[in-house]
Amino acid sequence: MRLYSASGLRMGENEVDHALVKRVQGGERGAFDLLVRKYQHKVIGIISRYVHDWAESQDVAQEAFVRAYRAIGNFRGESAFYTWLYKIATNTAKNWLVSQGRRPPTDDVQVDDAEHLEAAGRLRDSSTPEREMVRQEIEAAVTAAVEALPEELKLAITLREVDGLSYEEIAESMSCPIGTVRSRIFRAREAIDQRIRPLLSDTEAE
Amino acid sequence: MSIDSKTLEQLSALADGELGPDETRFLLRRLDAEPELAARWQRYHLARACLRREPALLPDAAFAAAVSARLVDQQRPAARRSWLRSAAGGAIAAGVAAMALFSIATPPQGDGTGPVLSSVAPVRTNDLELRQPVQRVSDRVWAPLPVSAPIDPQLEDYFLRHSGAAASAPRGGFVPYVYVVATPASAAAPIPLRESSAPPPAQ
Repeated sequence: MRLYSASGLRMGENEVDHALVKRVQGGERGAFDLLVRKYQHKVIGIISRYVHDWAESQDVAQEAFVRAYRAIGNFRGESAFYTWLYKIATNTAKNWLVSQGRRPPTDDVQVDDAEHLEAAGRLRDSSTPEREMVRQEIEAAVTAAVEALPEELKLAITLREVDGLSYEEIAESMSCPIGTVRSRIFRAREAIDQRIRPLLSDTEAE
Repeated sequence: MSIDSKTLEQLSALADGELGPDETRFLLRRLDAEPELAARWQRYHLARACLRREPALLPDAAFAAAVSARLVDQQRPAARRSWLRSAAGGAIAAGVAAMALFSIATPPQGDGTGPVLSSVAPVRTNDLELRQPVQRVSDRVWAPLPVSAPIDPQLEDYFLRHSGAAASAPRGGFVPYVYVVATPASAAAPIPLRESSAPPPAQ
């Protein structure tokens, strides 16, 4: 049985993050770019809880990543990287509010709760109508892509991404080798990627 | 540039933390170098956020590039400091090298009980005298020996050749040779053959 971190991420994912962090600590800035690309959507989502203007939330999110980079030498891997990043993001957002003469909210959302909140309400207030439309299109494309998958691919990607099972657990559940699980999940991801790539061509750099 | 399926399957496994350590190291290096692969990595995680109903928002198109540019700006002062550190290090290294050369060129300081530079009998000659002071290459004090009697010209010629040969020997050094050949004839000056910081003995 695989271990789970406090934030709900599988330890395997944390190990990847920690490997990236170690590379950053060793002077490889490119590894930090991968962490940015991995967490940028979530960090902007966190910050938009505090900063409701979309353009400002982008600036504050950038600042949060810059602060994380500056402080990454102090990250010892005692917590999940995302938990650490979450704290930096919320503090950066609060500091920005104070600098703007606004009072930061007192009802903080804990990282564990934030993982399970619906992407609704204030989050959507922060986005521009165009971007909100693209976001909804992407969500719909992902859902449609999963629905269109062959049954064994749909089950594999759902067990992995929604239920958070490891490859070993999925292999046991689906009575197939781990290599087959790895291949099925990859093919499912590629099918999803083919659907969302055209939607992102105007919003995300290749 | 298209990415082969094997690499993409490894990327998918990496996103799940299911890739072996060696493959992970290799793939992370490729991710650093291949923007297309990094963009795929970004989309895999966006799709994950959608599937998990995480509170994610689409960033600006060049968000990651903007962060990267800011980090480059942040590092510029550090780079200058690094350059200064390198320059300082170079100066220290040059200083150490100069000191090493100086110490090699400088014979060890004598204390009056130092080694005898020549085992031959003391030279006594009236012809060997310093008419012009020799420019010293060290601050070592040379204690000349007294000259008591004129020396045989054949013996003097022998000493000169011996000194020349000794100068070309690995440990001979040039100072004894310079001292001998720079000394012209006529005066009855003492010949320094022994290291000493003590004053020369009375004639």
